[in-house]
Amino acid sequence: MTLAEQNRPADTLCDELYEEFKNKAQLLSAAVYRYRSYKEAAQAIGGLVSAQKAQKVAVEPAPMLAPLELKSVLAGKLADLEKGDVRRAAGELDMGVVFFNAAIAETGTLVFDASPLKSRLLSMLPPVCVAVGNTSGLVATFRQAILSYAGKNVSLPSYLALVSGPSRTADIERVLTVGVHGPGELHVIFIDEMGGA
Amino acid sequence: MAGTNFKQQIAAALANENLSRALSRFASDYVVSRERIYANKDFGALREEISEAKRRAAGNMEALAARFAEAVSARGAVVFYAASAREARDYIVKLASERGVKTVVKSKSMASEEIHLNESLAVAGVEVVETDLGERIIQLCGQRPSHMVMPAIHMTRQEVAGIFSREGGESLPPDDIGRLVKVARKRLRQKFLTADMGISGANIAVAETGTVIMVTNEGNGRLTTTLPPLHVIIVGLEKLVEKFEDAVPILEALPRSATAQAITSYVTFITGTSEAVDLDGNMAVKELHVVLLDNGRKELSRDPVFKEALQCIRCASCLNVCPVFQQIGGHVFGHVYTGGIGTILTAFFHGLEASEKIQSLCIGCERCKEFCPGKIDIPRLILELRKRVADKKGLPLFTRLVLKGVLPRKKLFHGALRLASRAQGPLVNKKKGTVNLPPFLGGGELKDLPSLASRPLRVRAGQSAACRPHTAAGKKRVGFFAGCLVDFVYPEIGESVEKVLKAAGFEYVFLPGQTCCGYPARQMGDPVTMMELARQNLSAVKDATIECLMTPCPTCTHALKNVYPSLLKEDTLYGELAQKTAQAVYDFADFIYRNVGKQKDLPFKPLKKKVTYHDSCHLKRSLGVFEQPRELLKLAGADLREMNGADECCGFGGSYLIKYPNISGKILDKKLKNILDTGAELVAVECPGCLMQLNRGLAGKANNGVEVKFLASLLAESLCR
Repeated sequence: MTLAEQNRPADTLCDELYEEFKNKAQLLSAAVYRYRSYKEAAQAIGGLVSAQKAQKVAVEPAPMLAPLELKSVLAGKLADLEKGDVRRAAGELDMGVVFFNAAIAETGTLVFDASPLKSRLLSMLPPVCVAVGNTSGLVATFRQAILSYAGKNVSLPSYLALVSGPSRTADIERVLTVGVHGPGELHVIFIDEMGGA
Repeated sequence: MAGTNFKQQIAAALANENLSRALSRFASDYVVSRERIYANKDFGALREEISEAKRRAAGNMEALAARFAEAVSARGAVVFYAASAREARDYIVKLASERGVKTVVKSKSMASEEIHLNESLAVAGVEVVETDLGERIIQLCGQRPSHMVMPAIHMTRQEVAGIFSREGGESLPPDDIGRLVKVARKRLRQKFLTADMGISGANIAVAETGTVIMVTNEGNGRLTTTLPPLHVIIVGLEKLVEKFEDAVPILEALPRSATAQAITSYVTFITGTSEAVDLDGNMAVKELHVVLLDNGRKELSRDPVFKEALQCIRCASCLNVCPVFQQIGGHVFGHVYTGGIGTILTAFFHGLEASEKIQSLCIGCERCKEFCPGKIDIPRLILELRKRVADKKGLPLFTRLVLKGVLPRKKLFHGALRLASRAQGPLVNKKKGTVNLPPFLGGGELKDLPSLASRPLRVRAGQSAACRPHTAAGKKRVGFFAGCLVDFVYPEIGESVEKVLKAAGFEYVFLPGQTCCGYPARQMGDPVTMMELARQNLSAVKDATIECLMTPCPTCTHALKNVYPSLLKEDTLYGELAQKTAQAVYDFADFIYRNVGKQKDLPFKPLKKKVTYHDSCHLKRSLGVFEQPRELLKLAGADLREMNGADECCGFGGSYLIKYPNISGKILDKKLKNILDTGAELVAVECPGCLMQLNRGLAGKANNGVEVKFLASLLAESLCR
C-alpha cells in the first residue's frame, strides 16, 4: 500500500477495489453485486433464486453467512444436506450459496478457505454458485493475497481455493465455453455491513 | 540422423491440414493476447524471480523432497518416493488393487502420462477416466495429445461430435460445441460421483508447507481432488520450490504464458488431507498419497548444462512460438513432452536415444528463448544435446567427411567451392541465377538454389581497383568478414557494403585469411571443428591492420561476437584475442547506423518504394539489431510497411533446408504470405541465408513482382543513383 493509499479514507479505497474487482470479474463472465446490509443481500439472493427458478438450494453452514437468515428467505427450497450422502445431494442442487474469505481486485478472483467439504461441493457441483463475502475482504493484488498465507505453515488451510469466474474450457477448437465441470454461472455478492459470528 | 519412419511421420503431420491450421491460427493469436495480458506486468522481473527460485530448488532437490515429505506427512498424507516410472506405476496399481478400486477419475497430469500409468491400471482391471475435456477426447479416440496444454487442438468439432456420439450411442449434432461440452459434463459427472480414486498432478509443490498447487480452468481438478475418498497426487521432483512465496511469480507467469490468461478459473492449494465422503456416503477424512517422482530428474539436476531445464514451469510457450512446432505439432515427438523443452526432458525421462531424432527438428531461430518464463536457453540446450548424440553415435559418414576433412582445410574447402562453381555450369538457370541439383546431390525437393558465383569475393577483392586496400590517412579501417555465402554466392553484396562504407568515409579491408565461421559445424553437433575455424579466423584478424570488424551475415556476427569467446575461453593462444575481437565486431546496419545514420549525412536519393523488412533470427534475437535497419531504410526514403511476424524465421536454418526441406518449405510459405500481404514491392533482408530462402520462395510463386534485396545493396543503389 502506498502512502497516498494509507491516507485515503478506507471507504474510498474500498470503492476503488470493488470497482476494479467488478470489472475484472465481469470480463470472466461473473455477475457482481454489492449491498450495504445482510438484509439487502438476503433479499437479492431470494431474487436470484426466483429468477433462476431454482427449486433446490443449499447454503454452506458458515458462521459468516448466518446473519443472512436465508432459512426464512428460501423457505421450502432449502435442501437438507445433513442426512445421507452429501456428494449425491449436492449433485442434485440447482444452486449453492457459499462464503468467500477474500477477493482479489487485480484478477477478479475469490479466495476460499475450502477445507470444509461443503464449501467445495456447493461451489462446484450445482450449475449456479452464489458466493457471499464482506467488502472488507478485498485486496488489491494477487501477490498480496497469496503472500498473506506465506509463513502460516501449520495453520494453512488444507484446501485453499482461488476461483475466477465460472468453470470454462476451450478444448474444442479453442472456442470458449462455460460450465464444463463446475458451475456455469458465478454470482458474487459483497456486503459492506460487518457481521457474522 | 532422421530415419525414414520419422520422415514419414513428419510428412504425415505436414499433410494434416487441421493440425497446421489450428496451430498456426493459435500461434498468431497467442503472441498478441499474451502481450496484452502481460501489459501491466514486468515479464523480465518475473522470469528473474522464477529462474532464481527454480534454480535454487533444482540445486537442492533432495533436501527439498525430504522437507516436503515431512511437511505433507505431518498433515496426514502418505508419501512414496519413486525412483523410476516403474516404481511409481507399481505403487499406484498396488494401492488401487488393495483398496478394491474399480474406477479412477484423473485430472490432467503429464507425469502420469510420462509413466504410462493408464495402461498399467487398465491391465489391472481398473477403469481410468480422463476428465480434462481435451484429454478425454484424446482418450476416447485412442490418440495422443498434440500439444502439452491443449491436447486436442488438432481435432475439429465434427470429429469430437463423432467421438462423443460413438461413446454414448446417441447421434450428436456435428457443429454444436456448447452441446458437446454439456454432454461431456453430464457423462463425466457420473464418473466423478462414483469413482473410488482420484489421481491428479501438480503444477507446484511447496517444500516448507507440503502444499501442492494445481492450476486449471475446467474445475475437473477440484472435483478429482474433492469427490473420491482416496486421492493420489503425482509430483515430479522438478515441481518443488522451497518457500510458499516462491510460488507467486510462477502462478503469475504460468496462465499468462500458457493461455494468455491473468489467472485460470481455479487455482487450488492442497495441504494434506481434508474432509471427504466415503463410498457409503459417510463423512470421512480423505486418504491422500503423494508420489514423488524422480525418473531422471535427479540426474538432470546434477548435469552442469542441462539442470537449467528444471527451470521449466510447463507453460508450453516454447511450443507456441516455435516455427517448426506450428507446422508439425506434437505427435512427431513420440513422447509426452513435446516442442523445444520437451526435446530436452525426453532425453532425461525416456533416454538419450529417445531424443536422437527429435533434437534435429530445432531450426535454431532462438525465438523460444525470448518467451520462456523460466529463462531457459532452450536452443543452447538442444545444441548440447545434439553434441552429445553426435559424441555417442558419431556423425554420419558424409557429414563427418565435410566437417572434419574439408571444412578445417581452408585451401581444400575454398578450392572445392571454386571447382563446384565451374562444375555447376550445365545445371544453372542463367536467367534466374539458380541451380537445381540432381537428387543424388541433395536436390530433388530442393528447387531454385542460388548458383555459385563464377568469381568469389576473395578473388574480386584482390583484383578490383575499387576494392584494393589503400591507406588514406585519418580514415578508420574496417575489416570485412564476408562469410561463405557472401564470399562464394553473393559477392556483389560485399561490393555494396564497400560502396556504402566508402561513402561514409571508412576504409574497407577484405581479410584475405578468412574462412567459414564454423557455426554450421556447431549446429550439426561438432563444436570442435568450429573451434579450429575460430582460430583460423582470429589469425586472419590478427594479421590485418584494422580497427573494427564488420560482417554482412548475422550468423557470422553472432559467431564472432557471442560464440567464439566462450568456445575459446580456455585457449591460451586465442582466448584473449577472441574476447577483444568480440568487442569490435559489428553487423552492417548496426555499424552504419551508429556511425553515420544518426547524423543523416549520407547523400541518399529517396528510394520511393514500398519496402517491408524481414528480421533475421540471429540479427534480432542474438544481436538485438532490429531498429537500425528500419531506421536506415527510412533515411533512404523507403515507404516502410511492417509485415505480420517480421521476426519469424523464414525456414532457412542453414543445413536445416537440406535436412528437412518440407518443413522449411512450409515455414517459408507462411513468411511469403506475410510478405505479400503487405503489398510491398521490395523485401529488405540483412542475412544472406534469408536472401537465398526468400529468393527461392518468390521464384516458385506468383509473387506480384516482389523482389528481395539485401539492405546494403539497397543503400548502395540509393547512394549511387
